[in-house]
Amino acid sequence: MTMAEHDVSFEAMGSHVRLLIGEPGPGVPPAAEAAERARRFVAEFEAALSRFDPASELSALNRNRRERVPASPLLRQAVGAGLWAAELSGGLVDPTLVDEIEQAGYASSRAGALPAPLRSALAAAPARRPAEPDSAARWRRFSVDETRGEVVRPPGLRFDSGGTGKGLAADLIAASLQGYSRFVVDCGGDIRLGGREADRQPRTIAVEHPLSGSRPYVVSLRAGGIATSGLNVRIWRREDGSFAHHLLDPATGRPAWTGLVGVTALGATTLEAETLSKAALLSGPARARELIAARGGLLVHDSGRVELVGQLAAPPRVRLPRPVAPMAVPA
Amino acid sequence: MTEARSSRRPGAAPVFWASMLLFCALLGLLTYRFSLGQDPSGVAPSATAPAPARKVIVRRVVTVVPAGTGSETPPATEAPAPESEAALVSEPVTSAS
Repeated sequence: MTMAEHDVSFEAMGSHVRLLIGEPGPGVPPAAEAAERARRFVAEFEAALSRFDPASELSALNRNRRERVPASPLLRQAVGAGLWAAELSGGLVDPTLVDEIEQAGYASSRAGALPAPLRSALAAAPARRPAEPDSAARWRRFSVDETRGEVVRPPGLRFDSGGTGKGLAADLIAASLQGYSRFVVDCGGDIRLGGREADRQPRTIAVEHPLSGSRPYVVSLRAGGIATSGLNVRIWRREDGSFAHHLLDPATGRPAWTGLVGVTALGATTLEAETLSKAALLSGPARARELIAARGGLLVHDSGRVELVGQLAAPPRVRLPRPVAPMAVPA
Repeated sequence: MTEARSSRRPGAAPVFWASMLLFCALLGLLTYRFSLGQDPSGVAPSATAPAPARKVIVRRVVTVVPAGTGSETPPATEAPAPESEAALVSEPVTSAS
């Protein structure tokens, strides 16, 4: 059997994006065409939703002094996704912490910036404690009016799609690739898998360890989403010598040090996986296990210890080697 | 008669320890064969049903779009991936970003 797979990589949204697209079904455009369409979509997505670009539609929304602001379908989807994530996480994944993240030192893109050493940051970090939702729950003051095509919120309350943007982008691209035999959409490590024949053969996804950079675990998936949140990439040293990172405790508005440095979560969609991984990391080890137990995932503690949760923690089945050497070539 | 018969009957302790010894020996043998990757059932490999062989050739088209590229995609490098190469294609990695 011969299969074709297009493997397209490019840089966008401050990350590496990779598309693996299999054979098109009847009446479906060639994979190369789908890849190019997806690449253009990511460029549009970034141009519309970047917090760092004053010309983006998101920046225009955040500057607008009216309560109701006409918004494109993409912006409405992004706001809807952020609110969905906040609801799912009980307010831990809060899309309204724009002032706080800027005060923490993340006011411009850190794409290409060298991260501060995580081990040093952990040594200097305050006592570990779980993050809590903001009691004011400002995100509840946002809403999307689909009938009028508007985003509604009190003027001055800003929105950040950063916590859910890559997951949403992966899911939207995936929706356009359902007619292909198999596909993987990887938006900076937030990954969505699927396709008409996805159930036939699982795909392996490596999980990067945030402290060592090694890839000690491989997850076998057929369809759905997988995402990782960690402290190791968006982390920096402030002028006063203290360390900060991009995952904030909504209750304090400051970087959260919870005892976890990374969480990988599975989900029905990438947006769900991304939301669960962030919420779990912010929750600290005890609550994180509960959050990701249903879908499965893994926790990386401050010590570097990896803890498998849910379906990933299932004991391996003993399988004897086949007497005949397998001839199948993995895709 | 009755006395002679009862004297030939072994005690409970020797039977118990002999059973334990035999069990441990068999367990050790099975563990050893597992560790070698052998089938502990003892069935010769030729007698087992051969695994269905499925040969999949993946024709991979790799495109790396450099930063700043507009709407035009650079020409892709296209080649049927040899079997050994297909297996080496890097798997997607989930990581913090």
